[in-house]
Amino acid sequence: MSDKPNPQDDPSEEAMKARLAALTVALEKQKDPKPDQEALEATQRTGRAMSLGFRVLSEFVAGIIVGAVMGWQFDEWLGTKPVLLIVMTAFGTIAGFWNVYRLAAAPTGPQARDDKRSNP
Amino acid sequence: MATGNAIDPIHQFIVAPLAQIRIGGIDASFTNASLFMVIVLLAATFLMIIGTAQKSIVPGRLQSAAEMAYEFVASTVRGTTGTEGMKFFPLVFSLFMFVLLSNLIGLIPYTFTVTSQIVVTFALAALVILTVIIYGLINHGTHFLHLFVPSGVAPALLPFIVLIEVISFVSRPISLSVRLFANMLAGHITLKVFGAFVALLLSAGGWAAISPLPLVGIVALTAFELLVAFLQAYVFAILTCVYLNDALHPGH
Amino acid sequence: MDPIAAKYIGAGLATIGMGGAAIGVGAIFGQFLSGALRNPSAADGQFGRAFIGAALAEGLGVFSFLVALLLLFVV
Repeated sequence: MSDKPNPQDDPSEEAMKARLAALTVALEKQKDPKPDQEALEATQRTGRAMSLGFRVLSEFVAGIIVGAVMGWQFDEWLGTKPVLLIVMTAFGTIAGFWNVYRLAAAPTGPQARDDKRSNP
Repeated sequence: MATGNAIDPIHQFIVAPLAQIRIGGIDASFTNASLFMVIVLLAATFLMIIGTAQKSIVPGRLQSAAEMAYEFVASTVRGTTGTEGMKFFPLVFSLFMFVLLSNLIGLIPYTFTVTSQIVVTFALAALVILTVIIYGLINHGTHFLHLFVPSGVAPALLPFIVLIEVISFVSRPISLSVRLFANMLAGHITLKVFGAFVALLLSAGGWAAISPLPLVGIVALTAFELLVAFLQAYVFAILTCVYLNDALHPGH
Repeated sequence: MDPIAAKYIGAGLATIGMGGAAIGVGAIFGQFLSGALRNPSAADGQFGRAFIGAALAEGLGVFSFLVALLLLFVV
């Protein structure tokens, strides 16, 4: 014989009001989840696009700088003063663009596959 | 801050020894950089251990922060390197937490940003690239070198393609470390320069009227720096996954 | 003109290249926005590529900044 009445069928006024309030809050949440969802999506998209921008910038610049420095270093060792620097910088530029292409057009990893499916 | 009338934004990056320690001629003194590295370490340990202590179903603030960090990095690793990449998760997660917390703590005035030193970011990048190389060699032996020989290339072009692949592989640690370093350095220098503007304007008598302008600039810049702090930690983590992905299956 | 002065003038002139980068980035985002206004549904997909274009333009600008730094601190 539990003397505590079950909250469900408790006839008193405040319990009714409390349940009503809880119901409206739940309804409210149910009704419009979209706006904050969209705002979250927008910030995620800008975050991801900016991170892509940062990566592209540094991969591109690093590619060229590494090419130039390697060329300059080989010149020092082999004594072929300006030639290797120019050739290696050209290769560095190609490597830079290749890095950018690999990053932008074909992001690696399984996540890339569904990326491909989502925006061909 | 502004010494005399010259704006001196570089002052914040000077590494000054706090306790002189000489071990066999090597100056291993405890500097303010190491102090802040210890602070970052304690913050990360505190967040993760205390956060997940209660393991309550309805997470408190700290626990939800710890869970959010974990879920974020786990989904990044799983998304980029698949489930087999999860064995690198501890490395990626600790890198992410270290970079994120040192960026965030660095934003607090009068603190020292650990990741604004090229030697720190290059050490992290070298750690990542060495893991990639060593794991690739152990796991795939010489097959790992196929990373530099993409399939389906005309043999005549091979030496050029291999050279380009080598350059792009060597450029990875450079770009990984210089990106983080440059973003943090530039951000903090701009903040300090704007700070000096406010100080100079205030002491310039009549011109003090427009001194709130750079102040608004600092507020906006700090918000942007907060975004950059998160972004750089995320970019560092996801690129670590991308490079580990190359070690997991070379020859893309 | 003694070399030290020439070096500083050179470094100053080198930073004009950043102006070019700024124009490039402005052009890219301008075109992207005008395209996005015409076809907003396709804008989201291309948002990442706009940043890639901007990064490449900025990347080429960074080299003029690099030359300025080299002139100031290395040469």
